[in-house]
Amino acid sequence: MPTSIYEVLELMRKYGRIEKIHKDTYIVEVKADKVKDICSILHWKLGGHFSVTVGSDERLINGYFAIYHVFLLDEQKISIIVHTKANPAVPKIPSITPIIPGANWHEREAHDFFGIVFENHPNLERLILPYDWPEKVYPLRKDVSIEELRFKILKPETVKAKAKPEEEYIVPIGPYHPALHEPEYFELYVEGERIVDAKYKGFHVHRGIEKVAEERLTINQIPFIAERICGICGYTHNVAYCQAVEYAANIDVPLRAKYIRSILLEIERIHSHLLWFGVLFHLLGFDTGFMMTWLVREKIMDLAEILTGNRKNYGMNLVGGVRRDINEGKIKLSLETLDHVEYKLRNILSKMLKLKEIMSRTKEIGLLSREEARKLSVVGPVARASGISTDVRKYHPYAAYGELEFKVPVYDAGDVYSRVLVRYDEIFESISMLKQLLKNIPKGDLMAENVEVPEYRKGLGLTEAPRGENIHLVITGRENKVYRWRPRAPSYNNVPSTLVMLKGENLADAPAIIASIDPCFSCTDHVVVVDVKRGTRRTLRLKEISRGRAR
Amino acid sequence: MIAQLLVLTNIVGLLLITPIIDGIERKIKARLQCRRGPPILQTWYDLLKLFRRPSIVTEEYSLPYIISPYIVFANIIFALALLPSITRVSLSFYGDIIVLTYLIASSSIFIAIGSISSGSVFATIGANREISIATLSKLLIALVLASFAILKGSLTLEKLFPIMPPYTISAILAIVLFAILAYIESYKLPFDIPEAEPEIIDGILVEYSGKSLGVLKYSMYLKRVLLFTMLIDLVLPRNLPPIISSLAYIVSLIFVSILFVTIETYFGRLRIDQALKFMKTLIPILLVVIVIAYFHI
Amino acid sequence: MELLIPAALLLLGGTVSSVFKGRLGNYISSFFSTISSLIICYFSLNVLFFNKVFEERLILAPVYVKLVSPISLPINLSLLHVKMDSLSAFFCLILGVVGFASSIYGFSYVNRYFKKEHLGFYGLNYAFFLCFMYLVLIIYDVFWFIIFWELMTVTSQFLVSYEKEKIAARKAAYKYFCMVKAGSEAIIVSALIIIIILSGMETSFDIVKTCTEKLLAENPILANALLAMLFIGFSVKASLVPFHTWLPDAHPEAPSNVSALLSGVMIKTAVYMFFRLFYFFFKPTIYWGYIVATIGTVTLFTGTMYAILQTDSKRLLAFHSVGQMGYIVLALGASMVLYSMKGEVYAILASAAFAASLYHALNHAMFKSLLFLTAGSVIYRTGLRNLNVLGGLARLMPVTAISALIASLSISGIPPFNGFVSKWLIYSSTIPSFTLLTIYGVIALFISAVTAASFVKYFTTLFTKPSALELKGVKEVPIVMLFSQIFLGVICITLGIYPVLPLTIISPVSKLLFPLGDVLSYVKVLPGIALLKVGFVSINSPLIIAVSLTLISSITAALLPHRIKEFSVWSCGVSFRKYLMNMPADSYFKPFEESFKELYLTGKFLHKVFVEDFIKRYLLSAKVLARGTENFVVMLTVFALIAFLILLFLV
Repeated sequence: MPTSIYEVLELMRKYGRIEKIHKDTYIVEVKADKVKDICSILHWKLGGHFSVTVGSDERLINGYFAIYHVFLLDEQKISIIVHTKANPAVPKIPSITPIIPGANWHEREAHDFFGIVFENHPNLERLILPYDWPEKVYPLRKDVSIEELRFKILKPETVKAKAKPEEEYIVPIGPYHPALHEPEYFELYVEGERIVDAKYKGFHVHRGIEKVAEERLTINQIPFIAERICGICGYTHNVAYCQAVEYAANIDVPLRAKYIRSILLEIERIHSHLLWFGVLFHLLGFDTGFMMTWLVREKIMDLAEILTGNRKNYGMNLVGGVRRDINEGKIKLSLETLDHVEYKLRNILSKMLKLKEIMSRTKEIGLLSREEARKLSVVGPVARASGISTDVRKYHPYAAYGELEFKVPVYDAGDVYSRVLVRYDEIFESISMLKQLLKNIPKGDLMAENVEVPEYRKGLGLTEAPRGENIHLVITGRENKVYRWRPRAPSYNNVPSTLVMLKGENLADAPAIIASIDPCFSCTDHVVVVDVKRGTRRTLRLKEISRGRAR
Repeated sequence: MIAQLLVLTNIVGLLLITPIIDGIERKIKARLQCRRGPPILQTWYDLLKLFRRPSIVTEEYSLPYIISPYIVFANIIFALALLPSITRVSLSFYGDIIVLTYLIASSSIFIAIGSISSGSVFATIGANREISIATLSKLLIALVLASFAILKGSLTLEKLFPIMPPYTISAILAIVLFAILAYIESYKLPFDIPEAEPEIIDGILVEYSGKSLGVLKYSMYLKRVLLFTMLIDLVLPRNLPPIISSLAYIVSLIFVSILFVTIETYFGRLRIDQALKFMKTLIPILLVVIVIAYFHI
Repeated sequence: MELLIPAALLLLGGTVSSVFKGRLGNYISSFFSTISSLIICYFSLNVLFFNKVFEERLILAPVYVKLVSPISLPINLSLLHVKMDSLSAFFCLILGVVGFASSIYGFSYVNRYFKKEHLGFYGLNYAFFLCFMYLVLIIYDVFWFIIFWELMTVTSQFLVSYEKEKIAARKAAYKYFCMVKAGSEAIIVSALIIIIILSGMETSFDIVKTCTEKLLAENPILANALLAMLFIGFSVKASLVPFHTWLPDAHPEAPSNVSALLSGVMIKTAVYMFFRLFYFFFKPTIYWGYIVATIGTVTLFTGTMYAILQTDSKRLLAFHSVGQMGYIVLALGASMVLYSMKGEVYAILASAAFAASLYHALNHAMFKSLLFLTAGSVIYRTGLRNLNVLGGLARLMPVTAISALIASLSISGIPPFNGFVSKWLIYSSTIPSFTLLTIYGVIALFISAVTAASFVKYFTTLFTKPSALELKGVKEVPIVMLFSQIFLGVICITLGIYPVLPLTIISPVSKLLFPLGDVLSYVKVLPGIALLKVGFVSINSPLIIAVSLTLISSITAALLPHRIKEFSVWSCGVSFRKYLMNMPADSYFKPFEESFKELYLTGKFLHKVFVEDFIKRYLLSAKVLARGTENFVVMLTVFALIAFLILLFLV
């Protein structure tokens, strides 16, 4: 099997034309019939993993619909985008879901928004659009007329459950459930207390960010909305977007800015993991652990506030660099806080994780085997707990990570306890990384000099969010706007794995299993208008979308 | 006549004190978790608020859903009358220990029937768990009470309380095991399973609101106090002068609840099958205790 | 002559109704059964309350004798000696009450089979079944007892297989036949024949009694062997473990009012014979007491632990019949053990146990028949027994739901219903005895909690949980069926809050049989259960419990203003199609079942080894033997040889 970059590129050349978009990122344009073969090779033979599928309406550029399948090859440290075109009259592309089950949702989303039909897809149903969205109205197409989008919900949605034997019963978890902090809907088929099957329907908090960004926002306004995609890990979205544009426009970000970005990213990682620990303890009934973990987390939030002025939504990035600086005094304070936090965590958290009830309710629960993890292409701690060593910071270094020393914790039991251990180790790795960053931060500028963004360039921004790899694909547009922006949060790839993990488990463990992938549903739901239940709630006003006319 | 008045005082006093005991528990728990915690009277405020609110019932309810909170409440009140608490007098008759056990059991059963009658699947799951635990704990309670009956030679609570020194090994073991049982029955973590829960949205309480919820929660607090009272009565001597014995009772009640809540703060919640397994392991221990008690060891 | 009037009426009614295929066949039989049941009640109450004596000696014309037995036997068959002493009266009262309720119920219920089955056949068997049960209880003659016992079994078997199209019904009846008729009756008949022979060919109970007493003194081994044979034989009928396996198959298949009779009365006839055996014919000894009590405990444990798993409404009730019979037998055994122990305290405990046994028999008849009638009402309207899919019937059939609730609470032993009193008596007599019986009492207490759990399942899956199917056209059952249910419900409550009444009935039985004499004189010492003391009223009196509970709950309920709004069941924000949010009966208590899985696996293993494999081998060897025994003469010779050997041994 080819292992060097050169050999891989040679192999790709056999399928189509290869072009280098930017550093370590290549795009291969293939014909529709070769898509399955090349994707299979990239995911299974070459050891890469499928990351995201992006659909794009490029009829204004070249007259076709485009599909981009993005693959990350950790060993060679490159990303390869497989680009194929679809006939605008009857857009049809062979589906890669039969080979890579993890592409299921991605293709359904492209189908929802662009109307592209994926042949041989096992269940090409609606994923994101609500059940009563009219047919044949594809929101992300450039020629979608806003008048067509004015309508009311006709009747409340009723659940149509699958046919089941009489010994099973259904337990709904969500959309409103105390175990979830965001709305999602899990339908569990239960016998006695054992779950025999699970179904998921999500995307209740879909906010139409992509359409808004394409129509109304400038390139430098988007980082601020990107930060608000998620309530916990927003900064990674921010950085990923900025990086995508910077790579596309070939902008050189100064090193000090990169360090500052990395510092904030690691702070975010620590507080996100501590939040997750608190939530997990709460779901297991261990409120004492919940309270104590969050008490330590407060110190980290204070640190974020000192460094950026806000506990969340730091507002630090622009395309080309950062907006504010960190002075010596803040660095010293940060190092002290980190020492204190590390000491507290080593004492408290390690003891809590050794408690018998915590271990008995997380060991051997929610198993995800390595094969399943590869099939569904899960990312982040979920993958690392199932024996797959993948970390964007290590294998596709960005910001200042190329200059740091750190380990990637990998466990292979694939149960909830392994995910606990992965995140536990990551916290301490982050603390060590933060200390390195704070001690070695170089002097320099904060913002790049010449920030000019040429049009119709593609850029791929990768970051490692606390939940896994975050990937943004940007196609720059004219007049300081983006042509297409696709943010894909890590939970998008991870949530389908819950359906595998839930089967055969106890009902009482369901919330803990769902929580163990650290689902961030706000991240996951992003494009197109959300429900207008009973016609009374105004969400994203259609008029607001219509103000930027599609060209 | 005087005896009946004193029993009435018992009940009224316990009705007043119980939410305060729960408030003390919440405060101690908060402090142990490095929080400030609500004021001690908070539980009273909560209950009074609930009593003022209207109830929302489900569309698919049946009659037991409406009446069971009150029946449960009545059962527990009657059970309280059988135990000496604030005043050391109680209603007493031969075999009242069996009536007591049955009243506790019947409160679980009525809670279960009532919540299932709301038509909610979460309530049914919670009720199932409640009854599973209640059934096994009845066995354990029966075994413990049998060992006490053997130790003291009678089935009447008056003759059983208290266990006087010299304490035989079987007596100590029986009291300790009874304390564990009281802990399990009062639905403290790790046995919090049927009740308030992020897993099944509050389980048996999910479809109750307003006055019914207030009465049900009140009954649960009272049941906790009932079990603590039984534990205290086993140990507290009877021949103290009246005021001192009342004070001793109240102090012991506070002490026991603080002790239990401290233990509770340490634990997470068990799953139902793990809880049942734990209870099953207590059975052979209790059988051994009975055998030892038989030989007056 | 009076004593046989009900029997004659029933025979007449049955014969007349057998002619009619349609509803008339049902009406005639039900009418005669109702009247006869009332007359039976009248007689029993006379005996129990007013100490009247009923005894008849009927001389049968030779033509009838020829009917019964074509060949002339050395026994005097022409004398039909019936006597209703207090023991018979007690069980006849049970028969009368349950028969009355069941017959009235049958007026409407059996019309369900109109055009599907021959209703006259039902009428015939039903009336004859009642008749023979009655005769079994009052007959004072061993040989006629055998005849009536067998006839009772035959008619009940035809009733079990009444829905002849259903394979399950036919299989159940066949199993019933093999176990109860061929199996147990062979044992009973052989033992009784030996006893008759030993009594010098006399069959009257009194003479047999003197003979058995003599036998006990002279040849205790033989006496105990005969007692064992009779005990095993009647245990099969009483569905004690391990002979209980016919009951959960047979009782659900019969029409529901017949199930009520089968569970409520027929298995009590076996208890009647237990009392006759242990207290009338033979003496109660401590060894037999322990054996009986142990079998009782195993039965109550096994029956109820299996009952909790069931998802068929009538099968669940049938398993509980097995379990509750365990209680009755446990109390009987306890009374025998406690009687053998000396001391004032033990005398009280023994009397309490004796009273408990009879009291529980009475209670069980009442609440079990009520339960079967409610299950029957559900079947009448919905045609379903499947607890997984039923539900929500409380709004559609409120009176049935209330009766089911009363019966469920009674069987669970919740104060102030009747089950509580008899169970209280059982615990009060076994636990303070500080013998092995204490552990048995504790197990009984545990199983009482399991029973309660199981009936929460029964009641809620039938009436309160949302159903999985759309139940069309379900409304309350016809008034006659409601009447039977309400009638039995009122009896359950009365027996619960006024325990003096049943104890007064039990008292003459104990005066007749119990060696210590009148139970009431001992049980009086236990305050409250027997007497309402004036002055400081003893609160144990369940009436006071009932009143105070009702008062407290009503006061609490009325105390604060109460506004109600209706809203749909919370399903986390999605609306569910109406029939999806139900939890099937199968899933109830699964964790409990799993925590006892070693128990169930043992049961499965035992069943496999002792029943399935055994039957396979038996059938195999039977085939082999059958070839050898094709010859009738050979069989007869073998039989005669065996009988001859036994006689040789005796003389």
